[in-house]
Amino acid sequence: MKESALEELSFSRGVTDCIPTLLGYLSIGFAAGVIEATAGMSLLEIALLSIFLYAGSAQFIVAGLLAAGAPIASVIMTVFFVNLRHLLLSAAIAPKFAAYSPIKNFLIGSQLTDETFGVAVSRLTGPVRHLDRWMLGLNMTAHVNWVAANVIGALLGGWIADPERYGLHFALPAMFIGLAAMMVMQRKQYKKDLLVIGCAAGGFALAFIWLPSYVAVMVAAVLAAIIGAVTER
Amino acid sequence: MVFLSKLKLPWYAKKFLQHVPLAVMTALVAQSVLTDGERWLSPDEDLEWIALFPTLAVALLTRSLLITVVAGISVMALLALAA
Repeated sequence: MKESALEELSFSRGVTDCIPTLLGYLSIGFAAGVIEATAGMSLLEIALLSIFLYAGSAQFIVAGLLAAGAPIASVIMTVFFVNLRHLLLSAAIAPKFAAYSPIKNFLIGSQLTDETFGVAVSRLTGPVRHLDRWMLGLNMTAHVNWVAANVIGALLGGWIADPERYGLHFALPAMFIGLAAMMVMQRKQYKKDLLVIGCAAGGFALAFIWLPSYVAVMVAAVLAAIIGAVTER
Repeated sequence: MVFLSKLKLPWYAKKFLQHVPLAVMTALVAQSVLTDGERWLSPDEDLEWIALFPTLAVALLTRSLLITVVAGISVMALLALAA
């Protein structure tokens, strides 16, 4: 007798599968809200950012660049490159969605994040049905949670009168330090990553001699990324 | 995702993009730790540089973003008090 290995997924399954990741998201989203408020973004801007950009590391980079005085155009460009990484993640699981219409795929793809990608990869081991509904449940739960965390963080952050006294201006660098450290430890490509870090830091120091801060940041980042890519083979 | 189901990026472009987040974050940290936006900070006025190391240590030890940020802020606050 032939067994059916087809798994039935649903929107609500997507929601429940997402719940374990929500706590991690909450704390990051919360911190993101505080940082964005400290960097001078209004509540509306923060809400819109978390709704449309919806990516932790990209949002922090936006706040960081704005705090360093970058014009909007440069921020957008930098964020574009950072987000291309998300496109690559999408490409990895894209084959499973080949059956669905392009519009559906676009909606699903625009809500993709590292964490939901991780859940998707570990979950979708066998053939499944209603993948789109499951994905929607997963992504929407994560996204709503993220926006709420950002807004609440921003509200609470706005109440603090003198951020510098409590060291809050260090929140953003601390966030990057934490994210970078976790990224490096997770990827375990220590040699490459240390090379990139060295080049980015040194490159910045060098570039800052001649260039304004945010330009130096981007020049250094691009150079470091190129060096990282080129030394792979 | 619409396009990428059909698009194949060349290997060097993929590799470049993989390194971008780390590169950007490092550059931003360097910028905030070494400068005040306009000029270099001299070692005796640069508190963030001192705060960098304990924060990094906490990040490596706890692997928790929340704890790292709280620790970083606390160190900064303590340094601001002591200065």
